[in-house]
Amino acid sequence: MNNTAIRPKRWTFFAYLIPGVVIYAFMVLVPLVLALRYSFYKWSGGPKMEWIGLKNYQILLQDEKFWGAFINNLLIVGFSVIGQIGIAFIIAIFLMNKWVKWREFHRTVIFIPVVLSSVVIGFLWSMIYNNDAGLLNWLLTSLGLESWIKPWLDDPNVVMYSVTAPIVWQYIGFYLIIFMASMQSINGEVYEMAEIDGATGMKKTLYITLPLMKDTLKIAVMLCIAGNMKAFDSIFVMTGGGPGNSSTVMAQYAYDTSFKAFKLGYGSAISIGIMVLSVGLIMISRLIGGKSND
Amino acid sequence: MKKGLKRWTSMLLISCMALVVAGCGSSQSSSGSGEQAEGKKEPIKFMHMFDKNAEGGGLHQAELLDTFITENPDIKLDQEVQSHDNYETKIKTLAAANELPDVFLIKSSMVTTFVENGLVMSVDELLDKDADWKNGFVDGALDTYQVDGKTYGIQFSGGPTHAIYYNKDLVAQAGFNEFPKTWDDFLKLIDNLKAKDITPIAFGNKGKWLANSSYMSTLGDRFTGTEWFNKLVNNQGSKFTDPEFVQALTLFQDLAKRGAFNSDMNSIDNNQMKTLYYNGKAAMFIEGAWASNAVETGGPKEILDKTELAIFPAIDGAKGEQNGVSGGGGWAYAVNVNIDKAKLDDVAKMLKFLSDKDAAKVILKYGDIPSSKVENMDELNLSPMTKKMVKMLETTKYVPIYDSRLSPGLTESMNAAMQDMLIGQITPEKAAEVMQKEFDNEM
Amino acid sequence: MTKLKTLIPRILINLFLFIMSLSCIFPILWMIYSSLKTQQEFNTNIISLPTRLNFQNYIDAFRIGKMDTYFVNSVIVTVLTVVLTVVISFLAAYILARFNFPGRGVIYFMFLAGMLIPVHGLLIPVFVEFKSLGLLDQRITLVLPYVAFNLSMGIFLFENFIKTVPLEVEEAAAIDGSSTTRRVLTIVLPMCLPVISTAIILYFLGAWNEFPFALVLIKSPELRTLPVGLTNFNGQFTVNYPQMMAAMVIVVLPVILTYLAFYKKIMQGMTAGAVKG
Repeated sequence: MNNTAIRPKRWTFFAYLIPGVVIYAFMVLVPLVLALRYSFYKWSGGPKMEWIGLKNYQILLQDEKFWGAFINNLLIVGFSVIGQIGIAFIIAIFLMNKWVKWREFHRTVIFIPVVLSSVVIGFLWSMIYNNDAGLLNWLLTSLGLESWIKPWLDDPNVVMYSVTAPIVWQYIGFYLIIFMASMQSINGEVYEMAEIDGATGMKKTLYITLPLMKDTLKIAVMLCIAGNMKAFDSIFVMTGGGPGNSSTVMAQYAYDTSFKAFKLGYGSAISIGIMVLSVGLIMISRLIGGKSND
Repeated sequence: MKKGLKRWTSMLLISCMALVVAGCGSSQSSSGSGEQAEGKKEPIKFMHMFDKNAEGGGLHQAELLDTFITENPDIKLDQEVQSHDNYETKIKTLAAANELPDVFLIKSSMVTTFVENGLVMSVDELLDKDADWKNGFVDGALDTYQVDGKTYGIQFSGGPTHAIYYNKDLVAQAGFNEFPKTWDDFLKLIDNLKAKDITPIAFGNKGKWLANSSYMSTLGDRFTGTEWFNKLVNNQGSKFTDPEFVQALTLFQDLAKRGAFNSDMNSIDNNQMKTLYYNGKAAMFIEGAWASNAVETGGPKEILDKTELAIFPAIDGAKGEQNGVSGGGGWAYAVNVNIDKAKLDDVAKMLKFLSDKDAAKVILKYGDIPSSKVENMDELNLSPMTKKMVKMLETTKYVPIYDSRLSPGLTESMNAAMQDMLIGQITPEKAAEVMQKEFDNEM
Repeated sequence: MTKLKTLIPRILINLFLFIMSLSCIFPILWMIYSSLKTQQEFNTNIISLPTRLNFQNYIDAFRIGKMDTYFVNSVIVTVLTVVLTVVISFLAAYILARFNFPGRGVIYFMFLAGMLIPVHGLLIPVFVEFKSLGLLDQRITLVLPYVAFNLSMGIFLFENFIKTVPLEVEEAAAIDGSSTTRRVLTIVLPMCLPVISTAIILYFLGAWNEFPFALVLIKSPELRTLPVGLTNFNGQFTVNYPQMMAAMVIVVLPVILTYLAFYKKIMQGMTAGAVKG
């Protein structure tokens, strides 16, 4: 990748790179170092800070609530990788077909939930799940499926699925756009040649589209993990992490610890923990998906 | 290029480090007294959550503040108004960065932490200068803001956090022309309502605090008595696992098991639960005094007319006082320990204006229960709900509100444990253990 | 027979897409018509249509919520963020995509790690830093963290896309004596238009909807942005839902309109890119 032919002058090189690095260092890295520092203290706000070394991390390793929250995050990541990326991919393929009606409309509209803030999404879906006036129960009743009705957000065995559905739904449009951009850039001739060779529907998808989109899919998986390991807003609006702690995710646990329970040192340790686990998970996904080309 | 990059990277690293160090250094020293401009007064920095245009609690404070500003053009205020939820996040950030305004609001549960960190000054010196103001407070109104005998908060209103709002028609249909006087009758009422397919009690505990604030604080005290709580906070032997407290938890869980609440109690909030009540689908809801204003402004007229007030009936065999309702805590004004002393007189003037016995009349007018005594109450033109509330309080006695007295961390885990308990995930014994464990951790 | 065999799946697929789209558009419609109801109407039935049009909620939203001021602030902050982020992340991504130099891996990883940071964990550190730099509560205050936190996603998207722009074209131009900046502007940039449109929408959303930093770093009401203004409608013990919906519509509508405006460009850009690539 050392392209001597197009190598820029030294000052151009720095002028391109430095603004990004500097602003990023000051806005992200410095606060991160500060957070790391706080995580070694017992601190409840104000000037009094007590150095306790790695004790916060020791507690974190044995904190059932934290690991319970981690499992919840894993569940969301799992469903999102399958749901968001899977459904978006299928829709993208459908939309490549000329016999699908209103393609422009679908393409436009499916992205709309991405545009809404998570707070609005959470608010909307709590109305959908509402017991008496909710859309979901109304739908089940009119289909004659009363027995399926559940307290969607109140049953600790169901609640994680209920809060994951809106997250999956919200971001389908995001991946759809990425996939469609990627599919449209696949040269049409490739398909034409394949069709001459007798490839149809499924086969075209499996043997041409999928391999050509491998890099895009990898990117999507990474974005999906990164986004969902810090999921917070919509769940916070829907259940506040309840009942009990059954829908608490890591980011909410960190927030509650810092801003409700006032344990700022431990809260910082949790945030650092979230990052470490996210990096780990992405590493694992890269190992599974094969090494990237760079 | 290689060399340049290395040098540049190390410079960047060094400057980051320098900034970190500078950040820490200055955060400890920069908050001295304000600039001493001669002749011209510095404005009082004041953060609160009272927006005269917003709905909900605290409208009386907004009105009083408006009047105060017009009457005292020489006193300059630099106000920051945040809504309730945002206020809590923001005040904690400001406290962490040692950047608190001159005057702000704290809850009684925050007092200990703020005092330990040396962030707030004792308001005794303000109160002591003005006996009229100091003695005008209802007995014990400021007790919950005291640490080691010094007061750190000036409360303006603090009604009960427990009151049963009930629809008298629905209760009558279930066979009770009067609200039940004993717990057994109360349970019978619940059963009768259920048999008629009416939700007995609309309960919206998504915020998790309602169970603690409006139910458990009162129920717990009925069983344990207030002495138990005082021993608990002073770490003199009371435990959450004491049989009396567990009995109270069991009674609470039994209500849930009996079907007293709507099944989605953990996913709707205290606003949505009122919708059930407004629609006539629920016969009661339980919340603090603040809800009376909500019913008056947000509820349909025909429901408002049928709404009466009660408290939990006496519980047989429980050893606490049976007319106790949790109340008296809540938000209060606090003063920054680093405030420019020159501002103190104006601050005292303002806080007095917001909380004394004249302010009390305005507070009562809005249906809230003031912390200062009200003279000649009959002359005031009060709304029916407020009159009912005042009447109810004549025969009751305040007991501690758990979530406004116990530490925020403990409150968090109590709230979560109770939610788990109410859906039958854990037993009352286990819930008590969880609470005790968190309590031991903090001690 | 074969016709039927292809027809049925086609109908089902059309139906599926239709339901999907409906589920995406209904919430917006619900929000819009609910904002025209009175609070009591809404409390009685949350799904029903308003019995008559009632614009009071919008009037209140502007009067009470000072939504007009917040709106202008949001626009300024968002536009600044989008412009700065596109320029900065594109240039940095170009270097990272085209050249290998010592420290490249570290810098790239560092940018990517930004996507993993839960912002709530950095609220207090950022506040402390801004305080010591004297950057709190100014017009530029929010732009800085917004740009920084958007850089990660931007650099990630751009870096991947720029790598697909064929090197030969650039090399040919370089041999003809074209400078780096000229090549970036005339060759790389036009080919990256689709991904830039995508990035613009994402940056726009990020800045427009951001809440925690806006709450903590800004003090003056004159500088507040819409998401914080929105929470004015949320009292301590009461919420006027229809009024809140009206406020939400005010927040959401510009985003949807911007998106619809840009959507055409994205699609055009995509096809243009495909032809060239």
